[in-house]
Amino acid sequence: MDIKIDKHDDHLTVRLAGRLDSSNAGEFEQALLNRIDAGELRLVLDLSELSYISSAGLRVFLMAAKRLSARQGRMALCGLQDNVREVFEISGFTAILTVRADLAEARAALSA
Amino acid sequence: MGNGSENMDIEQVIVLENRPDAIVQLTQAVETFGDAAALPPKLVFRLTLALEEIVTNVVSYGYQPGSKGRIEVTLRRQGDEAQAEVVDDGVQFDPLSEAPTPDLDASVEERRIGGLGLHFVKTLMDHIEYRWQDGRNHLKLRQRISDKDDGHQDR
Repeated sequence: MDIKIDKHDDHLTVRLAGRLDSSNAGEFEQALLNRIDAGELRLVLDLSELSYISSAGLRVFLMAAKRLSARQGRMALCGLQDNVREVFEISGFTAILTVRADLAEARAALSA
Repeated sequence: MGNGSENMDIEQVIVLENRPDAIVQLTQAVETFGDAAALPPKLVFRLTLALEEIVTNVVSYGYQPGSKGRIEVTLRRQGDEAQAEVVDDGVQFDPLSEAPTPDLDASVEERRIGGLGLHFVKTLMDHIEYRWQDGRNHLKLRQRISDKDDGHQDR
């Protein structure tokens, strides 16, 4: 898995590529939560290059969402591939997280 | 998928230890098996996910700290069915009756972290059987191979 983080004026874009599973979710958790703890409270997560996710990876999204919610932050996800989307759906996560089609819509959702 | 592949029977056994790197070994082996058995990509995804969740659970909770475990995963294609069996020598655990169902309607704030893995297994697999035999957990998964899982995107 590769994690690429771009800092913009008013938000961070986090791009994930490859597979997010129980062997590397800890690495992602640390990268993401460190940024939130450092005060980055507006995040766009681009999953268009993410081909696989398991519950270990979903757990990190939920932890981030909880932490952001406690600090009035915002997070939007976009670019979910079909298999990844299915995992989010059967978790009920598409209902509780902000999921958009592409980067532009995800960025717009941060300011909505 | 041609008619020839429907008659193909193929089996692969993977032996894992209860270490964190078992998951990398497992997921690579399932991908390789998927290619060898000409399984549809969507089915390979689901099977990989189900097996990752099961084996992660066994590695995390099945053994006392410091004790060495053996987890054997058998992958099989039999006609138009994919099968996987996980046999482990960890503590007795029936995921069908003992794993709680997560509250899928809870809000971000209320939603508990965890408990999703075995929910995926139950949701994604057509058929699951558990038995405790000779001091081992045996968990068998079966999934019908269908043409609509051939990986073509709907959108």
